[in-house]
Amino acid sequence: MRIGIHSREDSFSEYWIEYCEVNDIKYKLVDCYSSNIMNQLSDCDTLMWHFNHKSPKASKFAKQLLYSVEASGKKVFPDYHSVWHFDDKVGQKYLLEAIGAPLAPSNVFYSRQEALKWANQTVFPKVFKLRNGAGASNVRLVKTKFQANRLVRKAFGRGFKQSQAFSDLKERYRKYSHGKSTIWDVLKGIVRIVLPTEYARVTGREIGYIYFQDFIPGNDHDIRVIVIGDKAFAMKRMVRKNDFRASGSGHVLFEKELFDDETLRLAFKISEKLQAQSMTYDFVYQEGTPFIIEISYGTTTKSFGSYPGYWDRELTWHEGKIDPCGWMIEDLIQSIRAGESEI
Amino acid sequence: MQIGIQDTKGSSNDGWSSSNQGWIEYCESKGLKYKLVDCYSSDIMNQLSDCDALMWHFSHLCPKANKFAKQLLFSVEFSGKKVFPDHYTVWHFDDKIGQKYLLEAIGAPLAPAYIFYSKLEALEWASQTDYPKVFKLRNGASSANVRLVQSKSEANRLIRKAFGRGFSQYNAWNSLKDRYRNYRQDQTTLWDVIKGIIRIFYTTKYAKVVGREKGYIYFQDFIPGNDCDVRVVVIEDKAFAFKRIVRENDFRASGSGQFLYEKEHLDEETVQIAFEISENLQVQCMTYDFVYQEGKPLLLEISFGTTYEDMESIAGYWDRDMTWHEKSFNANGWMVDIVINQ
Repeated sequence: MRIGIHSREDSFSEYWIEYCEVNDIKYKLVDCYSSNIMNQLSDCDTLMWHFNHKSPKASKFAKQLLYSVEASGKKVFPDYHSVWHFDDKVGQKYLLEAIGAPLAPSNVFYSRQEALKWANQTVFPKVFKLRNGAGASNVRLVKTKFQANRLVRKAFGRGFKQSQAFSDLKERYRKYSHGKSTIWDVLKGIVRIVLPTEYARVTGREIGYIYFQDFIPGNDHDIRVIVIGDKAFAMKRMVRKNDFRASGSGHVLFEKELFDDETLRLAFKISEKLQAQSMTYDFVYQEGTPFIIEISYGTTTKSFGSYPGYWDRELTWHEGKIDPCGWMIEDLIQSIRAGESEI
Repeated sequence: MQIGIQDTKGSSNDGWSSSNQGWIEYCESKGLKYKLVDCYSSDIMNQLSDCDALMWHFSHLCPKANKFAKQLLFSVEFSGKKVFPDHYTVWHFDDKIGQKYLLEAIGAPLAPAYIFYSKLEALEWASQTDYPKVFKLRNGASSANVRLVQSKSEANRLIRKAFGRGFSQYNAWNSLKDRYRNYRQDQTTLWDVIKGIIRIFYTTKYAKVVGREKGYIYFQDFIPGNDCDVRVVVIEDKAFAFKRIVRENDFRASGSGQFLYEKEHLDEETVQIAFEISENLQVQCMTYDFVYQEGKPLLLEISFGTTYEDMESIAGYWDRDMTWHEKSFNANGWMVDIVINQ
C-alpha cells in the first residue's frame, strides 16, 4: 500500500509525511497541479491533499480532482462527504438544514427584490457573509435596514471583491498594535489597496447572491470542536476586542474544563450524520443551546501542540499530546483494509 | 410518494428548464403526486418537508442557478431524499476540468486533454506540442467558449490572456459571427444579428455574474477527419443517439442545427461504450459527445442535461442488452421513473 501526498508548507502534509516516516508507511509525493496527476497516482492507493481555500490555484480544481480519484476506487483525504461544502457557506446552509443540524438561522437570496423585501421585515443586527473566504475577512455585522439595503444593492450590482483592502489594513493594524505583527505587515496592507491579492484577482467578484446569518448575542467567545474519526478535541476562542468575531483573535484557551459534554456529543453526532472524515465546528450559544456558525474539514496546524488531550466517542478523556494528522492516516488505512476484506 | 419539481412558471422562472415541464406532464398523465417548489427560495428545505424527492433540470446558462444548484441537490440527497440529478450525475456538469479528471480516473476514452494552473508550465508545453489543438473554457456551452488553435503563437497569446486579464464568458465578436452565420442560413432573424451588435457594448447578465475565467488554461487534442459528432444519451438502462453535422467552415458540431437521426448512421459499439461509462460513473442520465479517430470513438465532453427539442425525429432507442426498439418514447418520463424506482 502506498499513500500519495501533496506536500504544502504549514499544512497537514508535514505531519502526514512525518507519521509515514516514523511508522514505516510507504508514501509518494505527488503534484496535484500537474496535468498528469492521474498518472502519478497510478501506483498509489490513496491521495491526501490538505488544500487551502486561500490558494487561488487550488480553489479552481481541488474538489474536482479529489472526487475523480475517489470515483476511480481509491481512498482520498478529504473525501466527498468531508469536502464538498468546504469554503462554501451557501452549501453549508443547505446541508446543515437538510440533516437538521442546529445551524444559526441563515438566509440566502438570489434576487435583489426578495432580499430587499426580507431586509424590510427582519430584525437587526444580522451578520453578512460572503460564501467563501476565511479568517473572518468577509464577515460583517449589519446593524440597520439601511446598511442591509446597501449591501443588497451592491451584491446585485457591482458585487464584492474577495479581499476588502481597507478592512484588511485595519486588521493588520490591530494585530500590529497588539504586538502580534510587524510594521512591515501594515505597510504591505497599504500596498494591497492598490494591488489586489492574487486570490481576489483569480476568483473574481462575488456577485448575484446575498447571505445573512442571525446574530447570536451574548457570546464573548466561540467553541471550536474538531472531530477526526472517533476522536475530538476543542479550543475556546475569545472574541476580538471591540468586535463580534472570534476567528483571528489569537486569544485561545485549551483547558479540558472549558468544554461541555453536550457540545462534544453534538459534534460527534453531526460528523456521523455527515459521514465526514474530519470536521471543524464553530459553536456559539443562545440561552445555553449550541448553534453552529460554520464548518470546515481543515483546521490550523499551529495549535496542535497546545491541546492537552482528546475525547473519544464515549466522551472519555485521554490526556496527552495529540496527533490529529496521524489519526487521519490511521482512519484511511483502516477504511482501505475494510474495503479489501469486503472483497 | 410525492415528488418536488422546480416550478418554472413562478416568479423565479429561470426560463430554461424544458424537462421540468415534461416531468409535470408525465406525472399528470400517470396520476403521480407532485408539488411545485421554488429552489430559489431561502426556505426551500421547508417546502420539501412533505416531498420524497426533488427534480430540477437547471441550466448552466442560468446565472442564478449556477450559484447554488449543485449544493442544494447534494444537500437534499444527503437528507435521504431522491434527487434528479444526483451527486454522481451532476458534480462535473458544465465543468470540463472536472470531466477531464473524472474520465481519466475511470479510464474512459476522453480525447487527450491538458490542464495548466501556471503560465510557465503552459508556455513550456505549448512550445513542445503539435497543432492544431482545441482551446476550451471549463464552462459555458453551445461551443461559444471553444476555439481551434492553429499555432504556437496563437496558443501563447491565449495562455498570456488566461493568466492575465482572463476570458469573459461571453465572447461578443464570436457570438456576432454565429448570429450572422445563422441569419444567412435563415435560422434566425435580422433582429438577432442587431442584438449581437448591441452585445459588443453590453455583456450578458450571465457573463457579469459568473465573472472572468482566469488562472487556468485547458487544451484538448483536435481529432481530425470528423464531419460530424455522435451524441449518445443514456438514461439508466436505455439509450438513444443522433449525429450532429459539423458547421460549415468550422470544426464544431454543437450549434450547427443539422442532425441525422436514422439508425443506420449510428454505430452500436459507441452506444455500448456509453452504457459502460454510465455504469462506471453510476449516473442517472448522461449525454456523451463522441468523435472518431481511426474508427475508435473518443469522448469530447459529457453533460447530464440536453434539450431534446427534436424528440419526434428520433427513431427509437436501445435497451441495456442492445436490443433496438423502433418506437417513440418519453425521455422525461424515464427520468421520473428513475426517481420513483430508486
